[in-house]
Amino acid sequence: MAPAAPPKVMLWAWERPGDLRALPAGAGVAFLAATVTLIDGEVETMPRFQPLRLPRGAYRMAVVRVAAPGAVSEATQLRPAVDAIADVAATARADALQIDFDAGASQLPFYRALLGQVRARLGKGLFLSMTALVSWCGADSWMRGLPVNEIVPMTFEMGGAAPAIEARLRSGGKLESPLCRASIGVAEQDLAARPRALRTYVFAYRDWTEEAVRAVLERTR
Amino acid sequence: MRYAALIAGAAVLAAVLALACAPEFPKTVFVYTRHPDFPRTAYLEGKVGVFRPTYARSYLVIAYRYVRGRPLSVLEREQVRDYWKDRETGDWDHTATDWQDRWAYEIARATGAPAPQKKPVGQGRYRFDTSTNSYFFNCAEDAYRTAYQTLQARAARFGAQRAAVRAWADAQQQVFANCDGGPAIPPPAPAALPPLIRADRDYQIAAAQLYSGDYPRAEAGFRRIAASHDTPWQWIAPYLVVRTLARGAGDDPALLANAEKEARAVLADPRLAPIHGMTLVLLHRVILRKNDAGYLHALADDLAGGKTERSFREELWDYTTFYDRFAAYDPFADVTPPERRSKPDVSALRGDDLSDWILSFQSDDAAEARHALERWRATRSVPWMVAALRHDWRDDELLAAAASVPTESPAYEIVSYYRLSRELDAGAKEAARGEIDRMLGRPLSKSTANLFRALRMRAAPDLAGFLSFAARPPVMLTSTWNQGETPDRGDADPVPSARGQLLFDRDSIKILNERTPLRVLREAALSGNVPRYSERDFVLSAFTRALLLDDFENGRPLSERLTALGADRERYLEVYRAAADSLERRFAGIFYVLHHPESRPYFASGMGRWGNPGRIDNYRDNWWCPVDLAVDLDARTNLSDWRQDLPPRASADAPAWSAAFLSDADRAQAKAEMAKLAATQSGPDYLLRETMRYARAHPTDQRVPEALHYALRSQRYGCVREQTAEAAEQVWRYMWRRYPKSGWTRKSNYHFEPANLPESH
Repeated sequence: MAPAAPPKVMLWAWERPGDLRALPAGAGVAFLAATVTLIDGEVETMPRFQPLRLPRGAYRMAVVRVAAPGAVSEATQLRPAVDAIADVAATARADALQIDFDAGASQLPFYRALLGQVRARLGKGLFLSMTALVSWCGADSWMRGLPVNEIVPMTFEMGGAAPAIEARLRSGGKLESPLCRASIGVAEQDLAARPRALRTYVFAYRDWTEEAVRAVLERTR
Repeated sequence: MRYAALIAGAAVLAAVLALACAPEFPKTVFVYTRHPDFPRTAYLEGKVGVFRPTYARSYLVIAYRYVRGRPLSVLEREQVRDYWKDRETGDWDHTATDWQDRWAYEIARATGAPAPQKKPVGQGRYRFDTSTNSYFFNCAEDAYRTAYQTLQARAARFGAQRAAVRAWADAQQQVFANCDGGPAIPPPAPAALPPLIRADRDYQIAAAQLYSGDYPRAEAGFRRIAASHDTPWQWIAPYLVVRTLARGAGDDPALLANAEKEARAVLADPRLAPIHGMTLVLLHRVILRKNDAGYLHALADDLAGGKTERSFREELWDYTTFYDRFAAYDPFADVTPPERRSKPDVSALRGDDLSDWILSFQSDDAAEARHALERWRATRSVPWMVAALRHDWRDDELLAAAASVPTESPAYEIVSYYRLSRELDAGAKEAARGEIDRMLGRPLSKSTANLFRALRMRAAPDLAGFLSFAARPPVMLTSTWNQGETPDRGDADPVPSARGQLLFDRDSIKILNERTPLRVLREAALSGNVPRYSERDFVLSAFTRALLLDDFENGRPLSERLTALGADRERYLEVYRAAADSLERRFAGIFYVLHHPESRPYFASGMGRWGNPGRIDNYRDNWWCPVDLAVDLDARTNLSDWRQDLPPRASADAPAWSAAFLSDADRAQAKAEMAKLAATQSGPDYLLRETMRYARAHPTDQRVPEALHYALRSQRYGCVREQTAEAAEQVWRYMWRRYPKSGWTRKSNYHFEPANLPESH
């Protein structure tokens, strides 16, 4: 059975207390559930501790942030990282899982292997999402063939790639790779300056309030 | 898989934040200021030594208990170790027990079953709550400790009936499966099992229900246990009823009120005194979610009075947290101007003896000093005696009382330390000497021993004795970033060659720099009693001082020693010794100093200057600052707590810097020499001025362009005054005018743009 897809608007909720019990239907929440850090050949995990209250029945996507400040090793870190991600999926019992890993060029083979093993472990019944740097969204993207249901390019804090891509997005242009067009990740203040996508993930640099949520829904309608 | 630190100590975090952009420099610790020596278990067992006012307050609570004559019980000590683990400092001593690991080991050993596996994220402690979409701390350290100890007790009791123990262990495994997963509830115990195991099982079932989130069943189970006289868990069950109600209440005001009512009933029942502390903590931390001074005082009374047999860990945590609020604790106080720092709520902290004592003991405020003496006079208690002594009171009655503290008292060392300090200040050095030697014969912690060595140094009748007590073993070599004196930081051992060496602390350096005449410094430098690590720098500093004072009688043997130490490979000092007149000699000495930016006319403590001899230090610890600097003289790298307000320079005339081996004549001579040194200004000022003087007198000396270049370099990389640049520009103009073709001149474009070249060029 195909996994249930997220709604058209998803709010990212990072590690801060939140009360989104007034979240209207039609929007879901992708909440940071845990951070998995690959460091010194080992894997460290940090669960989310800040409460986030949601209405009953809201679409919930658990986000696992993967951080790797240095070299990564498939031999020692791949399996424990997959175990940690699978543990989050099992305990959070969310509707979907998103992996957020700003992998460096040398870490991309590891990331590919990680996604493959996560998919194998969790099965096709889970909606698996991944965030993507816009620099991965060129014509010849390394992400082709990844076993994910969705790729969400993050069109904010784009680093060195910013000016050219920012100009393209502001003029209504799309990212080169078709893989990066179905969904888009946008900072709250940039909503008006981004092309439409089937699904929009919105990041806020402040606490989500009822009013802020309403404004986002208005702008994405 | 490692688990990331969750509970970062606020102070440590703040220190890192405050200094995140600052460079780090080597830091030598002779006496721990933030915590007792390692392993802290000795302190925990009552060997509190000379505890410092700057210790974290949890350590002062422990000291207070001991000096007050209320030792911590075995259970309390165990809970302090758990508290240290909660604070993420448990592994500092390499003695802390990881009860979760111990449990895993013991269960595998006792039952032969494989050790239980922790979940990657939950780690056997954190459970995901779908109502808050977050993890919460479900099974604390003491749950594993209790299980471990109970397993051992049951194994000891039912050794012949291993089936009973296995049944107990299997059930307990199920209980802990709920910590990060579940639900897994053990079945009721078969009637064939012993009554004790059956009673345990009832407790295990209720605990499993609590950990799995089935609060109504857990509450009912704990209530049944509380009502039963046939269970070893009756004493704690009322507390667990409150805990279950609190957990199940969430944010519901009615359910929270119900939990509060239950908690207050426990607190009102004197038969439940052993669980009052933990219930009080729960009431305030979870149910009321507020704090007031009354709560602080209740915690203080519990901690001070030994009413915390079962809850020391929780109460100590809450007490220190709440104390911080009333004390207006600000992790950024070090980088906040004094006038903008928050002030403590003194009236609130006066409300109980422990808080009042900590406030007075830690404060440098004169009002607190008076208060400490008044409190001692009113109470005659040992803690207040310590607080009054620490504030430098020379009250005869107080000192007499201090002298009568018995040697077996935990307060004996700290009281003796302050009392002997007062005696030395008063000049009774000979009388104090024997007592200090006796103290040093005791098994002291390293920090306490260094404090007594400092006293003994001041009492030393001769130079050799002074030097032998001035050189001390550091307790830690680290960096200035490590403000918490944390032993497990990766920046330990910043200067490997200093490892295991005796070094000078700042007190001896102060005496050498400001109270000791050059003649005695020369004697010290050549005595062979200066620690090997510091000897080269020590001799160089004495030589530089001799140079600035134009004292060839002392300068000559010092220069010879430098040569013998291999510190003059270029043989510049041979010229110094062979010079025909004083101008020539001074220039030869300056020529050496110009090539050795580590030269300075004052001595350095600890690991000293960071960098190789003859090389420029990147942080301008090159040559020297004016000796009338506003802060105490030392290597610049030792003054590099530069983001904080360094205390102003202490008067060298204060009794604290008096040393028995120096006569009044020595002192007068040192004072006169310091005045002469001050007149020479900073290193670059002196070097620029004197090099120019020589250059004008001997313009054809081929060393002159090189010397002028290095003098300009000292202005670029050394410690300068505002006026130094003016002198440098004159030197620079002279150089370009007089030696325009010299390679040294061409290399001397440090500060002055070519467009500004003199017209004659």
